[in-house]
Amino acid sequence: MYDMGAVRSHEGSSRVEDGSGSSLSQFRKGIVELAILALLHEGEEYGGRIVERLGEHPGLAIGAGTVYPLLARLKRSGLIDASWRESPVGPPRKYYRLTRSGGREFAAMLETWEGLSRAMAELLSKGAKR
Amino acid sequence: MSVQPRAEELVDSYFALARAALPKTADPAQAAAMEEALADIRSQMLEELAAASSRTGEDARILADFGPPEELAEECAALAREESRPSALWVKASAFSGRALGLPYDLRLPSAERVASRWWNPLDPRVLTPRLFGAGWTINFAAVASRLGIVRPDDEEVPFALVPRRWLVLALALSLALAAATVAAVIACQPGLPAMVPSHFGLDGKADGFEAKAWAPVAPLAVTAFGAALVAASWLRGRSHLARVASCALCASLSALASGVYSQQAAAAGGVSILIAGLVASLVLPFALFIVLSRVGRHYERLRDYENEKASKEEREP
Repeated sequence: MYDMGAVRSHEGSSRVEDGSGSSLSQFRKGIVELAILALLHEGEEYGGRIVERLGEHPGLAIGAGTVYPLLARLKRSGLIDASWRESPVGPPRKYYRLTRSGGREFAAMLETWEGLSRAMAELLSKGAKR
Repeated sequence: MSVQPRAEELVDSYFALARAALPKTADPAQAAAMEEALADIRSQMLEELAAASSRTGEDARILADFGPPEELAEECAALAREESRPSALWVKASAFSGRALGLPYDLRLPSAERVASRWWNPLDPRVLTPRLFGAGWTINFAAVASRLGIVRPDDEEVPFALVPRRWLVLALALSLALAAATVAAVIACQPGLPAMVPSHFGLDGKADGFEAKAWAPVAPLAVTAFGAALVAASWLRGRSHLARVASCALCASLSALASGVYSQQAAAAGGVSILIAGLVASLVLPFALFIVLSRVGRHYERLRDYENEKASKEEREP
């Protein structure tokens, strides 16, 4: 998906500075994006809770510092939407939800992911046997 | 990985169309900026194509994602206009940034927007970020506030964007008043200063260097004037709310610092307590300004969302 925000931040050379230029961190970001989309596919959620729920999976190794910029990016590219909601208990919170194109993107990413992980599992198990 | 020859042809014809659709301009800097933006997008597109070339049908999808070339040209032109607006003051040429021998370099003077986003960037958890220009660090006040639990990184979609004008004017008035008060105090105190004033303090807090009193107001006044000039520039140029708020914060900070330095020299007493008070104020004032306005922005963002929700509910149940 193309968005001018990405070009602008590139212009600001922030890509170089936050180290996201390395292919490994790009890879991780892609996975965390998928994780966020998967979480929101189950239902809408607010930022703090998203951080908490992703934090329950130590293997993902992500904190608030990664989640919020990704939420902002997903929102900019129109895959998710956010809005403040009053709550009968506790403070108002900003809830995130999948948009229609976010749902489509999630389905496509999931398919890619499943193919990839099947292939990788096969490849790695062969390697381990040898 | 490489791009299929056919896909490359597609890209070439796409960008030929986009380039043709670029608006004509007499400003060579702007023309260069537009070309640069297009080139950036072209390399982005080629990257995506290279990554996807093994899958069939992907090429067309990627090209479609980039939209019609005319639209792209328009966006590039808008981007170039935005960037080259203050061309008289800011260095503006593609030769000043890019890659040399594989190393990225950036010798452009940072734009107001970029500097401002270093001072208040809720999405960046780092408290100290490297300066955009020069050596040292910049404090990201938003990261401090976030760590203290005062703000959340997603409190505002775009920092201060929804802060109403009257609040911005209030921030402007306060910061300029602080600068004016500093200047007034310096002018009022100057005649009463002793002939020699301390200019340097040792680690023990005792003055170990002195200068003629005529020098004492120079740096404080210059720094305060610089802060006020930044505020004026960001307002007169119609910068983003973030840049305007950051300029007010910087002006308040510099005024506090200048007052601290000058008062310490004027007091000529032992110890550096006044200087330290000035330093603390130069950090607390911008912090407070950012926090208050961020709260205001969040408040108005909430109101907007509640309104939207009410409207969509009414639409569903007429």
